[in-house]
Amino acid sequence: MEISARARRRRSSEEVHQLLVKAARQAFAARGYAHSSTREIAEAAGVSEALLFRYFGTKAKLFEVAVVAPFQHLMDAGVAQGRSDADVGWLYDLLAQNRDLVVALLAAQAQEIDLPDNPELADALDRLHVAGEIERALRGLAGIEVPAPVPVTFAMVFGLAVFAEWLFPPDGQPTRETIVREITHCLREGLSHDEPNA
Amino acid sequence: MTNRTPERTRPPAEFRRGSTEVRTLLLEAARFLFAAKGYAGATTHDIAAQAGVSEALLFRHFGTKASLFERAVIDPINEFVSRYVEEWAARPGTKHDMEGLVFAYVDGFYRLLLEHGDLVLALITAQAYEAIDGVDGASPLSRLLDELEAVPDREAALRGLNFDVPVATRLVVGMVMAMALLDKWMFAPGRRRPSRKRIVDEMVGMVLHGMAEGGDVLPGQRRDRV
Repeated sequence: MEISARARRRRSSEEVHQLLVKAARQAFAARGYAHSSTREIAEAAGVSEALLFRYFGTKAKLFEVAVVAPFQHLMDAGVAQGRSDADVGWLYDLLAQNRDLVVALLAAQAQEIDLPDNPELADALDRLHVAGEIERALRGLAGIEVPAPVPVTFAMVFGLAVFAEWLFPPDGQPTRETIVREITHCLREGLSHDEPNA
Repeated sequence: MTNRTPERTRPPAEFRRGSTEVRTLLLEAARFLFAAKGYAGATTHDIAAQAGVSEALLFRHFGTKASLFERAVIDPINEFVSRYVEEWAARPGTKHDMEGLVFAYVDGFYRLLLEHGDLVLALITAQAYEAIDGVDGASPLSRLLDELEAVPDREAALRGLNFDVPVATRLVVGMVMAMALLDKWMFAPGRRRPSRKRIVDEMVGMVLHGMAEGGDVLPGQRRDRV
């Protein structure tokens, strides 16, 4: 494979790191962990596979840096932002804008069962305490009691943020505003308004 | 790949197992591998191996990989939604017990998805990885949900309720799907886990009354009437 002029240009290690992380995230979201090869990721980033290994050591480590750590950061940032804002819009945006990350993470967790010889991936996933992150994130929603309604609230937001393309027809995707409004309304008083139709 | 295999080359297990059992094994293996590897990543070879049958037998039962996906992932949801809508339609067109209607849906759907643990992930990874043959434009799920909309649509009209039917319908479906998919995220191993009934009650309560039902949970945001 011919190496492009762009790839030959001397790049800072920070730049190479970023390119690899970006390529890895796209690959893991598109093909899952098991079917993303380090060779393809290196190629997509325009660097050699040897350089990938020099930077990350293993594919599991690359997954941790590209997917697990950003997810944790996102939740942290979301929590900080959500605290000042008693609405679920931020959580919806967080999940909808990072759908690939979420799907890559879920797929990797499913694959873990399939890859028993990969303790490093298992470790990376174990370190991610998603339940704790969710609980923390939703404590940010002013005054919501943990734990009872928290999983339900999270599931409601997650469902529309992550499954929207499966749930709505292509020409009937609602706007973000409609979705957030309906979720917020449901959280306050349920789906069915008590007001009669005009 | 041919659809026929000479009798003598079949693994002996196939003689011992009934056709229904083989089908069930293949469907379970398919859900598991579609979930773990995505639609594109899961090969019919791997699925057959996981089920312990020959690939030829897989093709004899299901024809194509796309058709296997439909049978394994879409059909269980399809059957549930159709049955629910039929049962509802068979009842008299008066005001139904709203809580009972919501409970029947949430309880049945949640139970189905927990039983077929890999179903939801198989559905979303398939979409992330590759469009499925024969699924153009609207997802099979979205067509099903159009059918399901009849229920809230007519109930809302009967009661003079006012809500966004397409979004509300999908909010409930998405919530139950996420609840089943994220089971391990929500209820970390080693921590006390609410019963299935409790989780269903929480979901139904949220849909019918929101947080306000649960007590003093949203200060300053309680609903005005009750």
